[in-house]
Amino acid sequence: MSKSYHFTFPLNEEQIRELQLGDLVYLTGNIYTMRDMGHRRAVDMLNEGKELPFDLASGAIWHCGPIVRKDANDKWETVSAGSTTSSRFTYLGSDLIKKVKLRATIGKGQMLQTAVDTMQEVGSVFLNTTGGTAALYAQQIEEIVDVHWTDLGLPEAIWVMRVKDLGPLVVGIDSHGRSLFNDKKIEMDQLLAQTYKDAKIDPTYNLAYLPKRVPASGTKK
Amino acid sequence: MSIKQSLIESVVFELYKQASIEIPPDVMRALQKGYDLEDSLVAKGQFEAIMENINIAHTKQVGMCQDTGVPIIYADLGLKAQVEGDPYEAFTEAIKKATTAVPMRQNVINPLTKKNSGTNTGWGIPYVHWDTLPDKDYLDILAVTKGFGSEMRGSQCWVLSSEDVGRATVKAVLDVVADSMGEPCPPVIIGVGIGGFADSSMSIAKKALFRDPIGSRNPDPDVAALEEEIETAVNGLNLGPMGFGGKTYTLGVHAELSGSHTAVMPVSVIFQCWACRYAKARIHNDGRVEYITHPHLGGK
Repeated sequence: MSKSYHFTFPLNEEQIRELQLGDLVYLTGNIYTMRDMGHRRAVDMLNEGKELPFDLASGAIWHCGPIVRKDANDKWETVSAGSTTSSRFTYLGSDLIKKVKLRATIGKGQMLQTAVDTMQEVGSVFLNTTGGTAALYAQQIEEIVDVHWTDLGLPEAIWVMRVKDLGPLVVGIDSHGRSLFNDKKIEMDQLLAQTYKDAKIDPTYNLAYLPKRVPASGTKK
Repeated sequence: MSIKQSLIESVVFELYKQASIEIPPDVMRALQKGYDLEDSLVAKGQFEAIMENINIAHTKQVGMCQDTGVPIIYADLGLKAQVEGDPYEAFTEAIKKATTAVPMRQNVINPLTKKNSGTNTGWGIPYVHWDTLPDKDYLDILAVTKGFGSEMRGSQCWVLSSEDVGRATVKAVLDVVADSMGEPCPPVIIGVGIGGFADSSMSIAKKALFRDPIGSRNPDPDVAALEEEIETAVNGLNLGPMGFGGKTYTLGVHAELSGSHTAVMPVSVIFQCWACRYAKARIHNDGRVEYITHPHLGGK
Protein backbone atom coordinates (compact mmCIF):
# COMPACT_ATOMS: atom_id res chain seq x y z
CA MET A 1 0.00 0.00 0.00
CA SER A 2 1.53 3.30 -1.00
CA LYS A 3 2.06 6.01 1.63
CA SER A 4 1.84 9.75 1.37
CA TYR A 5 4.60 12.14 2.52
CA HIS A 6 4.82 15.93 2.89
CA PHE A 7 8.46 17.04 2.84
CA THR A 8 10.09 20.44 3.26
CA PHE A 9 13.60 21.06 1.84
CA PRO A 10 16.38 20.36 2.57
CA LEU A 11 15.89 16.57 2.47
CA ASN A 12 18.18 14.14 4.26
CA GLU A 13 19.21 10.63 3.26
CA GLU A 14 17.07 9.03 5.97
CA GLN A 15 13.87 10.62 4.58
CA ILE A 16 14.74 9.51 1.06
CA ARG A 17 15.55 5.92 2.07
CA GLU A 18 12.11 5.68 3.69
CA LEU A 19 10.36 6.26 0.37
CA GLN A 20 9.18 3.19 -1.54
CA LEU A 21 8.19 2.79 -5.17
CA GLY A 22 4.67 4.17 -5.79
CA ASP A 23 4.56 6.36 -2.65
CA LEU A 24 3.11 9.85 -3.06
CA VAL A 25 5.20 12.90 -2.18
CA TYR A 26 4.37 16.61 -1.79
CA LEU A 27 7.31 19.03 -1.72
CA THR A 28 7.70 22.47 -0.18
CA GLY A 29 10.69 24.78 -0.64
CA ASN A 30 12.97 25.78 -3.50
CA ILE A 31 13.29 23.70 -6.67
CA TYR A 32 15.62 24.30 -9.64
CA THR A 33 14.45 23.79 -13.22
CA MET A 34 17.10 22.21 -15.39
CA ARG A 35 17.06 20.99 -18.98
CA ASP A 36 19.60 19.78 -21.53
CA MET A 37 21.88 22.82 -21.80
CA GLY A 38 21.69 23.52 -18.05
CA HIS A 39 22.78 19.94 -17.27
CA ARG A 40 25.67 20.23 -19.69
CA ARG A 41 26.91 23.51 -18.20
CA ALA A 42 26.51 22.36 -14.58
CA VAL A 43 28.39 19.10 -15.17
CA ASP A 44 31.14 20.88 -17.14
CA MET A 45 31.59 23.46 -14.36
CA LEU A 46 31.81 20.82 -11.64
CA ASN A 47 34.30 18.83 -13.76
CA GLU A 48 36.46 21.95 -14.00
CA GLY A 49 36.36 22.26 -10.22
CA LYS A 50 34.14 25.33 -10.26
CA GLU A 51 31.27 25.94 -7.87
CA LEU A 52 27.67 26.25 -9.12
CA PRO A 53 25.99 29.61 -8.45
CA PHE A 54 23.08 27.81 -6.76
CA ASP A 55 22.81 25.09 -4.13
CA LEU A 56 21.07 22.13 -5.80
CA ALA A 57 21.54 19.87 -2.79
CA SER A 58 19.28 22.13 -0.71
CA GLY A 59 16.34 21.39 -2.99
CA ALA A 60 15.48 19.30 -6.04
CA ILE A 61 15.99 19.43 -9.80
CA TRP A 62 12.88 19.68 -11.94
CA HIS A 63 13.11 18.62 -15.60
CA CYS A 64 11.08 21.60 -16.71
CA GLY A 65 11.27 24.63 -18.97
CA PRO A 66 8.45 26.88 -17.78
CA ILE A 67 6.51 29.59 -19.60
CA VAL A 68 7.30 32.77 -17.69
CA ARG A 69 6.45 36.45 -18.08
CA LYS A 70 7.17 39.67 -16.25
CA ASP A 71 4.34 41.07 -14.16
CA ALA A 72 3.41 44.76 -13.73
CA ASN A 73 6.29 45.19 -11.24
CA ASP A 74 8.85 43.74 -13.69
CA LYS A 75 9.05 40.56 -11.61
CA TRP A 76 9.09 37.11 -13.26
CA GLU A 77 5.96 35.02 -12.79
CA THR A 78 5.14 31.46 -13.86
CA VAL A 79 2.41 31.02 -16.46
CA SER A 80 2.68 27.24 -17.05
CA ALA A 81 5.24 24.80 -15.71
CA GLY A 82 5.35 21.05 -16.23
CA SER A 83 7.83 18.26 -16.81
CA THR A 84 9.83 17.47 -19.91
CA THR A 85 10.89 13.93 -20.90
CA SER A 86 13.33 12.70 -18.25
CA SER A 87 15.13 9.85 -20.03
CA ARG A 88 17.23 12.54 -21.75
CA PHE A 89 18.90 13.33 -18.43
CA THR A 90 19.84 9.77 -17.45
CA TYR A 91 23.60 10.25 -17.83
CA LEU A 92 24.25 13.93 -17.09
CA GLY A 93 21.64 13.76 -14.32
CA SER A 94 23.36 10.75 -12.73
CA ASP A 95 26.66 12.67 -12.78
CA LEU A 96 25.03 15.58 -10.98
CA ILE A 97 23.35 13.36 -8.36
CA LYS A 98 26.78 11.91 -7.51
CA LYS A 99 28.64 15.20 -7.53
CA VAL A 100 26.26 17.29 -5.43
CA LYS A 101 24.49 14.52 -3.46
CA LEU A 102 21.18 15.56 -4.96
CA ARG A 103 18.28 13.94 -3.11
CA ALA A 104 15.38 14.35 -5.52
CA THR A 105 14.74 14.74 -9.25
CA ILE A 106 11.28 15.59 -10.60
CA GLY A 107 10.23 14.76 -14.15
CA LYS A 108 8.08 12.64 -16.43
CA GLY A 109 8.45 9.29 -18.12
CA GLN A 110 11.51 7.53 -16.80
CA MET A 111 15.23 7.68 -16.13
CA LEU A 112 17.21 4.66 -17.30
CA GLN A 113 19.19 2.01 -15.38
CA THR A 114 22.31 4.16 -14.79
CA ALA A 115 20.12 6.59 -12.83
CA VAL A 116 18.47 3.74 -10.91
CA ASP A 117 21.91 2.48 -9.83
CA THR A 118 23.15 5.99 -8.97
CA MET A 119 20.08 6.76 -6.87
CA GLN A 120 20.51 3.54 -4.93
CA GLU A 121 24.17 4.34 -4.27
CA VAL A 122 23.69 7.99 -3.27
CA GLY A 123 20.27 7.84 -1.61
CA SER A 124 18.17 9.77 -4.10
CA VAL A 125 14.76 9.41 -5.79
CA PHE A 126 12.99 10.18 -9.07
CA LEU A 127 9.52 11.65 -8.67
CA ASN A 128 6.97 11.39 -11.49
CA THR A 129 4.55 14.14 -12.38
CA THR A 130 1.60 13.83 -14.77
CA GLY A 131 2.97 14.94 -18.15
CA GLY A 132 1.52 18.02 -19.81
CA THR A 133 -0.44 19.33 -16.83
CA ALA A 134 1.52 22.57 -16.62
CA ALA A 135 -1.38 24.91 -15.79
CA LEU A 136 -2.13 22.71 -12.77
CA TYR A 137 1.44 22.72 -11.40
CA ALA A 138 1.78 26.47 -11.98
CA GLN A 139 -0.80 26.91 -9.23
CA GLN A 140 1.54 25.19 -6.76
CA ILE A 141 4.40 27.60 -7.46
CA GLU A 142 4.34 30.52 -5.03
CA GLU A 143 7.13 32.60 -6.48
CA ILE A 144 10.09 32.71 -8.82
CA VAL A 145 12.91 33.40 -6.36
CA ASP A 146 15.80 33.71 -8.78
CA VAL A 147 16.98 32.87 -12.29
CA HIS A 148 20.42 31.84 -13.59
CA TRP A 149 21.93 31.30 -17.04
CA THR A 150 19.32 33.16 -19.10
CA ASP A 151 21.95 33.27 -21.87
CA LEU A 152 20.92 29.65 -22.59
CA GLY A 153 17.44 30.88 -23.61
CA LEU A 154 14.44 31.20 -21.28
CA PRO A 155 13.37 27.52 -21.44
CA GLU A 156 16.91 26.32 -20.67
CA ALA A 157 17.63 28.80 -17.87
CA ILE A 158 17.73 27.67 -14.22
CA TRP A 159 14.53 28.99 -12.61
CA VAL A 160 14.56 28.85 -8.83
CA MET A 161 10.95 28.39 -7.76
CA ARG A 162 9.45 28.31 -4.29
CA VAL A 163 6.76 25.65 -4.32
CA LYS A 164 4.18 24.71 -1.77
CA ASP A 165 2.99 21.10 -1.65
CA LEU A 166 4.06 20.42 -5.22
CA GLY A 167 2.35 17.13 -6.04
CA PRO A 168 1.11 14.53 -5.89
CA LEU A 169 4.46 13.20 -7.14
CA VAL A 170 4.75 9.44 -7.57
CA VAL A 171 8.03 7.78 -6.52
CA GLY A 172 9.10 6.38 -9.91
CA ILE A 173 12.61 5.33 -8.84
CA ASP A 174 13.31 4.68 -5.17
CA SER A 175 16.69 4.47 -3.46
CA HIS A 176 16.50 0.68 -3.24
CA GLY A 177 17.22 -0.06 -6.92
CA ARG A 178 13.61 -0.23 -8.03
CA SER A 179 11.97 1.55 -10.97
CA LEU A 180 8.26 1.78 -11.71
CA PHE A 181 8.90 1.77 -15.45
CA ASN A 182 11.23 -1.20 -15.27
CA ASP A 183 8.59 -3.16 -13.35
CA LYS A 184 5.98 -2.00 -15.86
CA LYS A 185 8.22 -3.09 -18.74
CA ILE A 186 8.59 -6.62 -17.33
CA GLU A 187 4.79 -6.89 -17.09
CA MET A 188 4.34 -5.35 -20.56
CA ASP A 189 6.84 -7.73 -22.21
CA GLN A 190 4.68 -10.70 -21.19
CA LEU A 191 1.55 -9.06 -22.61
CA LEU A 192 3.50 -8.10 -25.74
CA ALA A 193 4.52 -11.73 -26.38
CA GLN A 194 0.84 -12.74 -26.36
CA THR A 195 -0.15 -9.72 -28.47
CA TYR A 196 2.38 -10.68 -31.17
CA LYS A 197 1.07 -14.23 -31.11
CA ASP A 198 -2.55 -13.05 -31.51
CA ALA A 199 -1.49 -10.76 -34.38
CA LYS A 200 0.34 -13.66 -36.08
CA ILE A 201 3.69 -11.89 -35.84
CA ASP A 202 6.90 -13.77 -35.06
CA PRO A 203 8.81 -11.27 -32.87
CA THR A 204 12.14 -12.97 -33.63
CA TYR A 205 11.67 -12.40 -37.37
CA ASN A 206 12.61 -8.85 -38.35
CA LEU A 207 9.94 -7.69 -40.79
CA ALA A 208 11.79 -4.43 -41.37
CA TYR A 209 14.56 -4.34 -43.95
CA LEU A 210 15.86 -1.07 -42.46
CA PRO A 211 16.87 0.13 -39.91
CA LYS A 212 18.98 -2.93 -39.27
CA ARG A 213 22.69 -2.90 -38.45
CA VAL A 214 24.49 -5.50 -40.50
CA PRO A 215 28.10 -5.93 -39.32
CA ALA A 216 30.80 -6.74 -41.90
CA SER A 217 31.29 -10.46 -42.34
CA GLY A 218 34.64 -12.21 -42.10
CA THR A 219 38.00 -10.54 -42.55
CA LYS A 220 39.36 -8.50 -45.46
CA LYS A 221 40.84 -10.79 -48.08
CA MET B 1 -12.70 40.20 -53.69
CA SER B 2 -9.63 38.63 -52.19
CA ILE B 3 -8.11 37.28 -48.98
CA LYS B 4 -5.81 39.92 -47.56
CA GLN B 5 -2.49 39.24 -45.83
CA SER B 6 -3.67 41.19 -42.77
CA LEU B 7 -6.79 38.99 -42.44
CA ILE B 8 -4.70 35.80 -42.67
CA GLU B 9 -2.43 37.17 -39.96
CA SER B 10 -5.27 37.96 -37.56
CA VAL B 11 -6.92 34.56 -38.14
CA VAL B 12 -3.67 32.62 -37.62
CA PHE B 13 -2.98 34.61 -34.45
CA GLU B 14 -6.43 33.61 -33.17
CA LEU B 15 -5.82 29.96 -34.15
CA TYR B 16 -2.55 29.79 -32.19
CA LYS B 17 -4.23 31.34 -29.18
CA GLN B 18 -7.09 28.82 -29.37
CA ALA B 19 -4.72 25.90 -29.97
CA SER B 20 -2.37 26.72 -27.07
CA ILE B 21 -5.08 27.27 -24.49
CA GLU B 22 -8.20 25.29 -25.43
CA ILE B 23 -8.37 21.58 -26.21
CA PRO B 24 -10.59 20.75 -29.23
CA PRO B 25 -14.02 19.51 -28.01
CA ASP B 26 -13.70 16.07 -29.64
CA VAL B 27 -10.38 15.44 -27.84
CA MET B 28 -12.04 16.41 -24.54
CA ARG B 29 -14.83 13.91 -25.25
CA ALA B 30 -12.25 11.19 -25.97
CA LEU B 31 -10.46 11.96 -22.67
CA GLN B 32 -13.75 11.77 -20.75
CA LYS B 33 -14.47 8.41 -22.39
CA GLY B 34 -10.98 7.20 -21.39
CA TYR B 35 -11.58 8.30 -17.79
CA ASP B 36 -14.91 6.44 -17.66
CA LEU B 37 -13.29 3.20 -18.87
CA GLU B 38 -10.57 3.11 -16.19
CA ASP B 39 -11.16 1.42 -12.88
CA SER B 40 -7.77 1.80 -11.16
CA LEU B 41 -7.12 4.78 -8.89
CA VAL B 42 -3.77 5.52 -10.54
CA ALA B 43 -5.20 5.66 -14.07
CA LYS B 44 -8.26 7.64 -13.00
CA GLY B 45 -5.93 10.03 -11.12
CA GLN B 46 -3.93 10.72 -14.30
CA PHE B 47 -7.10 11.50 -16.25
CA GLU B 48 -8.36 13.71 -13.41
CA ALA B 49 -5.12 15.72 -13.40
CA ILE B 50 -5.33 16.13 -17.18
CA MET B 51 -8.96 17.26 -17.15
CA GLU B 52 -8.44 19.59 -14.19
CA ASN B 53 -5.46 21.05 -16.04
CA ILE B 54 -7.57 21.66 -19.15
CA ASN B 55 -10.12 23.52 -17.02
CA ILE B 56 -7.46 25.66 -15.31
CA ALA B 57 -5.88 26.55 -18.68
CA HIS B 58 -9.34 27.59 -19.93
CA THR B 59 -10.24 29.62 -16.82
CA LYS B 60 -6.89 31.36 -16.50
CA GLN B 61 -6.38 31.58 -20.29
CA VAL B 62 -2.85 30.16 -20.18
CA GLY B 63 -1.02 27.50 -22.22
CA MET B 64 -2.26 24.04 -21.20
CA CYS B 65 1.29 22.60 -21.39
CA GLN B 66 4.57 24.45 -20.83
CA ASP B 67 5.93 22.96 -24.05
CA THR B 68 3.83 25.11 -26.36
CA GLY B 69 5.50 23.31 -29.23
CA VAL B 70 6.91 24.22 -32.61
CA PRO B 71 4.53 25.67 -35.23
CA ILE B 72 3.42 23.75 -38.32
CA ILE B 73 0.79 25.07 -40.71
CA TYR B 74 -1.29 23.11 -43.21
CA ALA B 75 -2.67 25.55 -45.79
CA ASP B 76 -5.12 24.37 -48.45
CA LEU B 77 -5.76 27.06 -51.04
CA GLY B 78 -8.92 26.98 -53.17
CA LEU B 79 -7.94 27.67 -56.76
CA LYS B 80 -10.83 30.13 -57.12
CA ALA B 81 -9.65 32.15 -54.14
CA GLN B 82 -7.29 35.05 -54.51
CA VAL B 83 -4.66 35.90 -51.93
CA GLU B 84 -3.32 39.43 -51.70
CA GLY B 85 0.15 39.78 -50.20
CA ASP B 86 2.51 37.19 -48.71
CA PRO B 87 0.81 34.47 -46.64
CA TYR B 88 4.14 33.21 -45.21
CA GLU B 89 4.81 36.63 -43.79
CA ALA B 90 1.29 36.62 -42.33
CA PHE B 91 1.91 33.23 -40.65
CA THR B 92 5.27 34.39 -39.27
CA GLU B 93 3.95 37.67 -37.88
CA ALA B 94 0.94 35.91 -36.32
CA ILE B 95 3.20 33.43 -34.51
CA LYS B 96 5.52 36.20 -33.28
CA LYS B 97 2.52 38.03 -31.84
CA ALA B 98 1.02 34.88 -30.30
CA THR B 99 4.38 34.06 -28.68
CA THR B 100 4.17 37.30 -26.70
CA ALA B 101 0.42 37.51 -26.22
CA VAL B 102 -0.54 33.93 -25.20
CA PRO B 103 2.35 33.65 -24.10
CA MET B 104 3.99 30.66 -25.81
CA ARG B 105 7.39 29.43 -24.67
CA GLN B 106 10.31 30.51 -26.84
CA ASN B 107 11.09 27.08 -28.27
CA VAL B 108 12.70 27.53 -31.67
CA ILE B 109 16.48 27.48 -31.94
CA ASN B 110 19.10 27.12 -34.65
CA PRO B 111 20.17 23.47 -34.20
CA LEU B 112 23.90 24.17 -34.66
CA THR B 113 24.49 27.54 -33.00
CA LYS B 114 21.66 26.92 -30.45
CA LYS B 115 20.66 30.55 -30.88
CA ASN B 116 17.03 31.07 -29.79
CA SER B 117 15.11 33.47 -32.05
CA GLY B 118 12.80 34.28 -29.14
CA THR B 119 9.83 34.37 -31.53
CA ASN B 120 9.12 30.70 -32.36
CA THR B 121 9.99 31.52 -35.98
CA GLY B 122 13.10 31.42 -38.12
CA TRP B 123 15.23 28.89 -40.02
CA GLY B 124 12.16 27.54 -41.89
CA ILE B 125 9.72 27.71 -38.95
CA PRO B 126 6.75 27.86 -39.30
CA TYR B 127 6.96 24.74 -41.43
CA VAL B 128 4.17 25.08 -43.99
CA HIS B 129 2.49 22.38 -46.06
CA TRP B 130 0.68 23.89 -49.05
CA ASP B 131 -2.04 22.08 -50.96
CA THR B 132 -4.66 23.14 -53.49
CA LEU B 133 -8.44 22.69 -53.58
CA PRO B 134 -9.85 22.74 -57.13
CA ASP B 135 -13.06 24.77 -57.62
CA LYS B 136 -13.05 26.23 -54.09
CA ASP B 137 -12.93 29.93 -53.24
CA TYR B 138 -11.54 29.74 -49.73
CA LEU B 139 -8.30 29.15 -47.81
CA ASP B 140 -8.31 26.42 -45.15
CA ILE B 141 -5.72 26.79 -42.42
CA LEU B 142 -4.88 24.13 -39.88
CA ALA B 143 -2.53 25.63 -37.30
CA VAL B 144 -0.63 23.11 -35.20
CA THR B 145 1.93 23.54 -32.48
CA LYS B 146 3.64 20.27 -31.74
CA GLY B 147 5.29 19.35 -28.44
CA PHE B 148 8.53 17.41 -28.84
CA GLY B 149 8.09 14.79 -26.12
CA SER B 150 5.74 13.08 -28.55
CA GLU B 151 7.60 14.23 -31.68
CA MET B 152 10.95 12.70 -30.70
CA ARG B 153 9.41 9.24 -30.55
CA GLY B 154 8.57 9.39 -34.27
CA SER B 155 10.05 6.44 -36.15
CA GLN B 156 10.32 4.99 -39.63
CA CYS B 157 11.23 1.58 -41.00
CA TRP B 158 11.46 0.13 -44.52
CA VAL B 159 9.70 -3.07 -45.53
CA LEU B 160 10.32 -5.24 -48.59
CA SER B 161 7.33 -6.04 -50.80
CA SER B 162 8.13 -9.75 -50.31
CA GLU B 163 6.91 -9.28 -46.72
CA ASP B 164 3.40 -8.86 -45.31
CA VAL B 165 3.32 -5.05 -44.99
CA GLY B 166 0.15 -5.13 -42.83
CA ARG B 167 1.91 -7.32 -40.23
CA ALA B 168 5.02 -5.15 -40.47
CA THR B 169 2.86 -2.08 -39.75
CA VAL B 170 1.29 -3.65 -36.66
CA LYS B 171 4.75 -4.67 -35.41
CA ALA B 172 6.26 -1.26 -36.13
CA VAL B 173 3.63 0.48 -33.99
CA LEU B 174 3.82 -2.07 -31.16
CA ASP B 175 7.63 -1.82 -31.10
CA VAL B 176 7.61 1.98 -30.92
CA VAL B 177 4.94 1.95 -28.19
CA ALA B 178 6.88 -0.66 -26.18
CA ASP B 179 10.02 1.49 -26.39
CA SER B 180 8.21 4.75 -25.59
CA MET B 181 5.85 3.71 -22.78
CA GLY B 182 4.94 6.83 -20.75
CA GLU B 183 7.31 9.24 -22.49
CA PRO B 184 5.11 10.73 -25.24
CA CYS B 185 2.52 11.71 -22.57
CA PRO B 186 -0.23 9.16 -23.19
CA PRO B 187 -3.13 8.96 -23.79
CA VAL B 188 -1.75 9.65 -27.25
CA ILE B 189 -3.05 9.76 -30.79
CA ILE B 190 -0.96 7.54 -33.07
CA GLY B 191 -0.40 8.50 -36.71
CA VAL B 192 0.72 5.82 -39.16
CA GLY B 193 1.95 6.30 -42.74
CA ILE B 194 2.00 3.22 -44.95
CA GLY B 195 3.97 3.63 -48.19
CA GLY B 196 4.98 6.83 -49.97
CA PHE B 197 8.49 8.29 -49.87
CA ALA B 198 10.72 8.74 -46.82
CA ASP B 199 9.36 12.28 -46.29
CA SER B 200 5.76 11.94 -47.50
CA SER B 201 5.25 8.75 -45.48
CA MET B 202 5.96 10.63 -42.24
CA SER B 203 3.99 13.63 -43.50
CA ILE B 204 0.78 11.67 -44.05
CA ALA B 205 1.28 9.98 -40.68
CA LYS B 206 1.63 13.35 -38.99
CA LYS B 207 -1.30 15.01 -40.72
CA ALA B 208 -3.43 11.99 -39.74
CA LEU B 209 -2.92 12.96 -36.07
CA PHE B 210 -5.29 15.87 -36.63
CA ARG B 211 -8.06 13.82 -38.25
CA ASP B 212 -11.41 15.15 -37.18
CA PRO B 213 -13.11 13.64 -35.25
CA ILE B 214 -10.51 11.76 -33.28
CA GLY B 215 -10.85 7.97 -33.57
CA SER B 216 -12.71 8.09 -36.90
CA ARG B 217 -11.70 5.51 -39.49
CA ASN B 218 -9.89 5.70 -42.82
CA PRO B 219 -12.43 5.17 -45.67
CA ASP B 220 -10.21 2.41 -47.13
CA PRO B 221 -11.50 -0.78 -45.40
CA ASP B 222 -8.03 -2.43 -45.42
CA VAL B 223 -6.50 0.56 -43.64
CA ALA B 224 -9.48 0.87 -41.27
CA ALA B 225 -9.08 -2.80 -40.26
CA LEU B 226 -5.41 -2.15 -39.40
CA GLU B 227 -6.34 0.96 -37.38
CA GLU B 228 -8.86 -1.08 -35.42
CA GLU B 229 -6.41 -3.95 -34.82
CA ILE B 230 -3.55 -1.67 -33.74
CA GLU B 231 -5.78 0.35 -31.40
CA THR B 232 -6.96 -2.79 -29.60
CA ALA B 233 -3.44 -4.30 -29.46
CA VAL B 234 -1.82 -1.11 -28.10
CA ASN B 235 -4.48 -0.52 -25.45
CA GLY B 236 -4.20 -4.20 -24.47
CA LEU B 237 -0.64 -3.66 -23.19
CA ASN B 238 -2.01 -2.20 -19.92
CA LEU B 239 0.18 0.89 -20.19
CA GLY B 240 -2.66 3.38 -19.75
CA PRO B 241 -2.35 7.13 -19.21
CA MET B 242 1.30 8.21 -18.56
CA GLY B 243 2.32 4.54 -18.81
CA PHE B 244 1.46 3.90 -15.15
CA GLY B 245 -1.04 1.18 -16.13
CA GLY B 246 -4.60 1.32 -17.42
CA LYS B 247 -6.83 0.73 -20.40
CA THR B 248 -6.34 3.81 -22.56
CA TYR B 249 -2.87 4.38 -23.96
CA THR B 250 -4.20 5.62 -27.29
CA LEU B 251 -7.28 7.74 -27.94
CA GLY B 252 -7.16 6.79 -31.62
CA VAL B 253 -4.95 5.24 -34.29
CA HIS B 254 -5.15 7.12 -37.59
CA ALA B 255 -3.42 5.50 -40.59
CA GLU B 256 -2.98 6.80 -44.12
CA LEU B 257 -1.82 4.98 -47.22
CA SER B 258 0.20 6.22 -50.18
CA GLY B 259 1.39 4.56 -53.38
CA SER B 260 4.99 3.43 -53.15
CA HIS B 261 7.71 1.45 -54.92
CA THR B 262 7.20 -2.16 -56.04
CA ALA B 263 10.35 -3.27 -54.16
CA VAL B 264 10.33 -1.57 -50.79
CA MET B 265 8.25 0.96 -48.85
CA PRO B 266 8.43 3.01 -45.66
CA VAL B 267 6.17 2.62 -42.64
CA SER B 268 6.13 5.67 -40.38
CA VAL B 269 4.82 6.07 -36.83
CA ILE B 270 4.32 9.33 -34.94
CA PHE B 271 2.64 10.33 -31.68
CA GLN B 272 0.55 13.27 -30.55
CA CYS B 273 0.41 13.73 -26.77
CA TRP B 274 -2.99 14.20 -25.09
CA ALA B 275 -2.37 17.97 -25.15
CA CYS B 276 -3.39 18.05 -28.77
CA ARG B 277 -2.80 21.66 -29.85
CA TYR B 278 -4.43 22.43 -33.18
CA ALA B 279 -7.09 24.75 -34.52
CA LYS B 280 -8.63 25.13 -37.94
CA ALA B 281 -10.34 27.96 -39.79
CA ARG B 282 -11.72 28.64 -43.25
CA ILE B 283 -11.22 32.10 -44.75
CA HIS B 284 -13.64 32.81 -47.60
CA ASN B 285 -12.71 34.99 -50.56
CA ASP B 286 -15.25 37.61 -49.38
CA GLY B 287 -13.48 37.89 -46.02
CA ARG B 288 -15.85 35.72 -43.97
CA VAL B 289 -14.08 33.51 -41.39
CA GLU B 290 -15.35 30.21 -40.01
CA TYR B 291 -13.62 28.70 -36.96
CA ILE B 292 -13.96 24.96 -37.44
CA THR B 293 -12.34 23.12 -34.49
CA HIS B 294 -13.27 25.68 -31.84
CA PRO B 295 -16.60 27.08 -33.13
CA HIS B 296 -17.66 27.87 -29.53
CA LEU B 297 -14.90 30.49 -29.34
CA GLY B 298 -16.20 32.19 -32.46
CA GLY B 299 -12.91 33.96 -33.17
CA LYS B 300 -13.52 36.73 -30.68
